[in-house]
Amino acid sequence: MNVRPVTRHRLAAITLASVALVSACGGSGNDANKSSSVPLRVLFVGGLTGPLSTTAIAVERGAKASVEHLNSQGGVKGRKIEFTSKDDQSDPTRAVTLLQGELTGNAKPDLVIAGVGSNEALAMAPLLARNKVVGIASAVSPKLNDPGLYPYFFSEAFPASDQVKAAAVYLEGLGNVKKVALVAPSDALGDGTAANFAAAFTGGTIATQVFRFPTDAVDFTPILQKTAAYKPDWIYMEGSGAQAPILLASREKAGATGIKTIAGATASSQPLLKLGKGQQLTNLYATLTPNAAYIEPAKRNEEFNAFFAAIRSQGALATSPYVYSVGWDNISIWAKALARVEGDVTGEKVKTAMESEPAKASSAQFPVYSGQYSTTNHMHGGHPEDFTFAQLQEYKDDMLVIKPE
Amino acid sequence: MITTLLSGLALGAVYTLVAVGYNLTWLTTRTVNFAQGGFMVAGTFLTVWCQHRGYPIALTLLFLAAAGATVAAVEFTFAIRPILNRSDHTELVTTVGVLTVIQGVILLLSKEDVLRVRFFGSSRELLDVLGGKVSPAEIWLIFLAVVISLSTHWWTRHTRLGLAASGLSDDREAAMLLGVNTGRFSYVAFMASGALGFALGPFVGPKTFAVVALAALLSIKGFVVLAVGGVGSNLGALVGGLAVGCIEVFVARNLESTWQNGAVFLVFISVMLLRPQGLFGEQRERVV
Repeated sequence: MNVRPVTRHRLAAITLASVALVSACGGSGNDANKSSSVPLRVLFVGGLTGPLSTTAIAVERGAKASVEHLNSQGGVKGRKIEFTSKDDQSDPTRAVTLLQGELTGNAKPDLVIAGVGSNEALAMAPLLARNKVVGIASAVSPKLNDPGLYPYFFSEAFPASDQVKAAAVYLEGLGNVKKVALVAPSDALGDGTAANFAAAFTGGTIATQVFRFPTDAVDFTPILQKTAAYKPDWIYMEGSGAQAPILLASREKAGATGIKTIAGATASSQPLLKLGKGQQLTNLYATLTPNAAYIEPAKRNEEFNAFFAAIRSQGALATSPYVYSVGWDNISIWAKALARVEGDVTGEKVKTAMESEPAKASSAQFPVYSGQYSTTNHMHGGHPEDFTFAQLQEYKDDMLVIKPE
Repeated sequence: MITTLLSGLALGAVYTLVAVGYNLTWLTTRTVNFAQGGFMVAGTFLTVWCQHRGYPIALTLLFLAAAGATVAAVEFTFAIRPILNRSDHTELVTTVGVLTVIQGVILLLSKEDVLRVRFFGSSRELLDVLGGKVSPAEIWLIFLAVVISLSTHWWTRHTRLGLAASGLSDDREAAMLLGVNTGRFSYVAFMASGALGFALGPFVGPKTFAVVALAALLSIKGFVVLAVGGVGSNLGALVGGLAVGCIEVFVARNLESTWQNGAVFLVFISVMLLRPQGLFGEQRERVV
């Protein structure tokens, strides 16, 4: 066989070609020096079908709207943003499989919106840490706020413990409340709420009692009757999905509508004015997250107007604008951090930029919550004044108008 | 006390109506159709759909019954008939499969997790009955459970068609030899159970709301009622259903609310141990 000898020139050419090939193939995702023609990739993994679909779809739509808004302004750091969605049906195992597939693919995401439930986020957070990809979600589990364990995960949410604490601050502030009853489901949500409830009222002057209902019951009248028999000054009730309207109906049947009642943040995320009727809404105080209560047009800032126009252009709203605004915020918080990064964009640099985010201006509607990320805190929220407890009157501009006291 | 009792009776009425649906298919095909809870929940969602379009109640009921009969006929054709003569109870698996499909279809088509179903009748939210509070829809549920279960009980005991249906349940081959058209009977029974399940949507929905996850729960509770009352007995379904509903609410009211399911299953196990054929079921000698 006639083999041509490798000359010095030929060796140099092969070396150069190899270097060029490696440069072209390698460095996927965040750690490459990207030109402005390479788009930034955002991946949403969430339950677009399944039990949390209404929330997941709204968050996804809010995020999409934010991406379109940023792209219409030229993108971030001159790069357009590409948005992809994957449906995990709110199943954490499926979420991990889908995310793994994307992380091992050719185009690694620059940001992952890790679902809307804590279980999905908890499943995806270790993968994000391993791959140094920034993730964000509206998950409320305090376990997720562990920058040591999940350094690349951030939550745009108000921790569940602080939601109850905000209610405790509100009730203590009224000055005339002696007894408060908690009505909560016998599941993880109820366990968390009961623990937070006990912690929030410990050391205060208000006596408390907890009443739990089975999650699969279709009538909570007996539980509300027991609660009313305790004669509390206020009731704090929490429930997800169908539990919220069943609580309203049962509260009326149990004759407990005379007792002022706070619907917890999860229960209040349901369209209470549509699911409840007449007497069921009497003395009912919803926990209103930022951007849920009606904002006068004059008080809406430029970003809020852009957000509102964008989500409305997608069709009728299926839930509170607040849920959409969380998706919008997921993108805009990351984009603002990205804009602060100098030089190449890497997951590590974006994470550091997010940890040094500036304080929210008092007049701003975004970020939704007034908290700040830091190296030790990866969860927004924590300020009781972020929440309003009020009776609901009507929907206006898809927002909830508060009934004057 | 009266409010609790009425709540228990209304809840039990829902379980009774699921169990009556089970009995319709059991009598003709010896199939416990676990999709029955799904039929009822599908009926609640379709009721909301009809209400949004402003259909009057009569048209809504006709539409629901037709839709239910069609769905049940499809179920019988593709999920039951091919395995009808097998003795390994495969139909238990296929009917659970149909239930899952129904839930999946609702999830795909419905944009919201929970929907309020308006009651078509009285605009009054709650009525005072004997000092207790009850909604008009709950009174209708109790009334329908009593009327439907007693009339079907009478039908199976005292009419030619009902006796023929019971005959099918006892011995399908012997009924065929006696000239009973078993195929047609089976189809009609399935379609009737589907029509009943869907058409109850306007009555069940105002109490339970339209919620997909409710389908499996109703199917399970309906089965417990069926076993407690006696498989094949609609009188048993009525007594068993109302008893189970009342046990649930009284345990929740007077003991610990989280024990209510435990109490029901305690009753279930006790009946199975002491009277395996159920309270109103007939004990049959096994022929070898």
